[in-house]
Amino acid sequence: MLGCIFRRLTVATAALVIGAWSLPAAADDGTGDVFQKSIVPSANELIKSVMSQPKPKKQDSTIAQVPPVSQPPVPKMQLPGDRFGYMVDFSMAYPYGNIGDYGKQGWLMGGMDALVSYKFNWSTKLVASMFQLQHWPYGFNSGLAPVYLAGFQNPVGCADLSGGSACGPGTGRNINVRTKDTFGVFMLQKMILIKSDKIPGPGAVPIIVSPTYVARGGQIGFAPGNNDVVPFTYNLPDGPVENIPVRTAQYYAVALTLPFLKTPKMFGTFTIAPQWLVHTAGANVGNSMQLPQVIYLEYNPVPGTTLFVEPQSARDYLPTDPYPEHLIAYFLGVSQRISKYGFVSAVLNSGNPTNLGADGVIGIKCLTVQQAVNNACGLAIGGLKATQLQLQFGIGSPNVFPL
Amino acid sequence: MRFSHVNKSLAVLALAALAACGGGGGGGPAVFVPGNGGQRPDGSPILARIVGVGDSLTAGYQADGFLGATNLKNPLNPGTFVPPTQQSGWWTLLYEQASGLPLDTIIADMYDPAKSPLPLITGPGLDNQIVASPLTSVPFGQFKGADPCTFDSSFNLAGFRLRPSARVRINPTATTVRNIGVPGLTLHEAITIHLPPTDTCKPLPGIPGLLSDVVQEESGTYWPVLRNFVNLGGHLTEVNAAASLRPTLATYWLGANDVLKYMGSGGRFVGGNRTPGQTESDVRRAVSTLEGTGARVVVANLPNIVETGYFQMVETPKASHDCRIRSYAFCFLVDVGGLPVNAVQQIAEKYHLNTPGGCVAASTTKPCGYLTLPGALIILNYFFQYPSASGYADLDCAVPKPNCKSVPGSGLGANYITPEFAGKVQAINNAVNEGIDDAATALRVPMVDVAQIFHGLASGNPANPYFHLASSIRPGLCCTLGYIYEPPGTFTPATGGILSFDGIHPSNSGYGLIANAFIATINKAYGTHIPQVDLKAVYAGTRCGNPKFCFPDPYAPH
Repeated sequence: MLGCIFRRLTVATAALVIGAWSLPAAADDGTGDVFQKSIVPSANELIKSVMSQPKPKKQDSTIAQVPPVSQPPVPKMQLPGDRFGYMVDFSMAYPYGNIGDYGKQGWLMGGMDALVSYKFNWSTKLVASMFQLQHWPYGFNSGLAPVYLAGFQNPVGCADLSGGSACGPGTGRNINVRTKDTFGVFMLQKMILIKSDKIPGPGAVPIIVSPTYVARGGQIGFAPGNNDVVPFTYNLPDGPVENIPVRTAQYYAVALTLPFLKTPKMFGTFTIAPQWLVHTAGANVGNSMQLPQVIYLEYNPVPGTTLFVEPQSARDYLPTDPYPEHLIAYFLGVSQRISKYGFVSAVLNSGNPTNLGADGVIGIKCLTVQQAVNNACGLAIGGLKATQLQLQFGIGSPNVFPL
Repeated sequence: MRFSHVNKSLAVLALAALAACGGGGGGGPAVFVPGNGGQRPDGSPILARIVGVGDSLTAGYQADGFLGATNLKNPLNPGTFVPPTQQSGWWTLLYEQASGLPLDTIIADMYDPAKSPLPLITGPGLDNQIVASPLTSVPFGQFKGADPCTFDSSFNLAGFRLRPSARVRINPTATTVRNIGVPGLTLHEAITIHLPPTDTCKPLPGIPGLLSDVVQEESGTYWPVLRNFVNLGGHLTEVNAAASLRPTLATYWLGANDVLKYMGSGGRFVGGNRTPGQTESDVRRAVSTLEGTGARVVVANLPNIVETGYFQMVETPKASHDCRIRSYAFCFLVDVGGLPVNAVQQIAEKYHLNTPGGCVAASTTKPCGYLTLPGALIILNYFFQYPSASGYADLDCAVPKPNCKSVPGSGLGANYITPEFAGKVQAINNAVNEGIDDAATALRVPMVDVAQIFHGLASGNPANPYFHLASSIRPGLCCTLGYIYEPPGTFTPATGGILSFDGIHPSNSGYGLIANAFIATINKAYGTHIPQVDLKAVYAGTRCGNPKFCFPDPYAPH
């Protein structure tokens, strides 16, 4: 047999790579987006509303003997808005960064956001929202990736992700990793007031506690089922190749948001949110508590216009991650109200995990040669950096506008 | 004139094949009868269940074929039969010797589908066995022709898939299988892959040939050997399959394909183990798995593959006697094939194979240049097919013929080995052996030094014990490492007798030498008393009385 093999061994190793491999498209800013899109703005809105209230007048001294803690809340100091709230917008996004020629083909998939809320009483509110974020991860279509075949310790070839022939004729490959993540966020927001005569403004500092459940899924351009299920591998060279929903996960979190700045034109909050996976999946090997933190700072130069910056130390824990990604991300945005119920906003965001290796595809693993032909090879993924600009056009009840 | 040379050679090989399959030799059976009356030679429980883990060498592969059936007619030489290979391998010999049974009995058991520890392959056998052929321009040929995939209603193709693989087995549901050597398997594959890399015999569409070629043929033997272990599911690997048999003694011999796949691709395929560390890691993992079931283990290292007959040195032999010792392109192409005396040097010059300052075989610092056996055959075929053409076959052409389109360097590995590349091949060969040695030392398991056997055979030194042993099998005639040559004054080509027709896998006699090395190592390490194989009886085909089972070595001169 070997003699026969030898006679035939005449062509380049690049063979394997010509087959298409499926790529788990993905991007960063997963849970960071949850904060930016849902938890933080909603909490901020509550805090801002309360802190904008005038300080109540002092009561008569005889009445003032009553301990403040047992007093009913000041009538005006309550969650803003009507009993029901809503918001909906449609968005479009454009990717930036080193995304290769194939990634630079224009706008990403369209998306939408929606929110409904119900206020039980002055301090308690239930919020259900969904939103979508689009991205094209950095590094997926640039550079070279080694190709592994089951049973071999060393790569048997390489793939030119830029579509060129740096690994030999026929080894160029472009992959559609236009990704749209969809988040469902369900949270109960409870406002706690810390009152003191020494506190300026309303005389109280509101703190928002938000027990939250997040379910996320996704859609990747090349996924055959129009979802996020694509072949994936880890632990090269021997890790398995599995079809898994690479952008699907569920989290529990308890967010605590407190203000640190309030002036007529500026506003700032800090949020910390212990979080856990509901269950591990894919390459996940543990589920210890993660502690993402978010700072939000906004500036309102004129009524109806808001500029904001939101640096984050977020955590992402997707089925492709053995350990949680530590994401350093930022959001830069501007929002403009264009009518009583309409708004438009633009948000530039970028992020990169600090505890993972190279960005994008770090390896391709084929269990069989046929997988190379049938687009079924798994991708090993490093860090998922992404940068994109998102434009939103929406309507909604004013009290939940991200102003 | 050229043809007359070849025809003479054919006659000899045809006779050899005829003798091999048609008769049992004239010496009568030399049956070994154990001294303890048919029990295990020493009653040692270590020998109760011997399991073989390895590649084609353990599987009993010969002459590019894998066959367990008898009475398969040789279409290239009517009236003769294709010799079975599996029952001639070293592992089979070890198993027989350790069985404690009369050789007539245990050898017959090897062919019995209900009792055999071998995954018996039915006719026409897997792959494309090289047989003696008086009808072709060289003294042998592959009897399945140019398209083995479709031969005999796609017999080979059946081996690529689990269910159809039942067709290729004589004993498809046997529970007695103990030799699970998978031809083509590498060190790492043995502990990782749970399905063959490809399920089609044909080259995959859209893929340049190399990768599919590298894995294609091992894929065709994976299920035929391991189909009885499919219950292991995703945990199926060759090593896990062996462990599931709960062996008392496991033989582990892998690594040759890591070197050969690199070599055969001209260095373009680099997926196999390339460092001592990788090899040691794989060997340790495999041996630990086997020992975890309570097995004692014996491992083996690799021969220097450039010392096998597949590699035809382009240096001119100093004396005609040298053709018996090593494989020289001169001996094959000039002496046997009838090419002009300066042909090899002209060819060597064209492909930069010469080493003006001399060379040392199996050296990384002063390596030799080689034509591969396929390369030599291409030149010979071309010489016969285009007698009026000027020059020799272009070994850088996909299909060598006059004025073919040549891609310089594309024949490296497949058709020729430059000295520089031979050095790289030897470096990997050394790295794998170092890793095997390191693992054996660390795990304190005995190691069979196969490298020393072949190095000794290649030395041509009568004082070397291995050379002495081999050359005394039939003094003056057999056995040496030379591949095809023409003994002086005979005008009939002969082989040295150690290797089968593919130039890499041993002959019956060659496997006998290896079996004895395993036996000696096992006896020494584990205190057993397995009797040595009677090499002369293997050569003569007299180990048993049934000529269907015991026949003269078809690859050795008689």
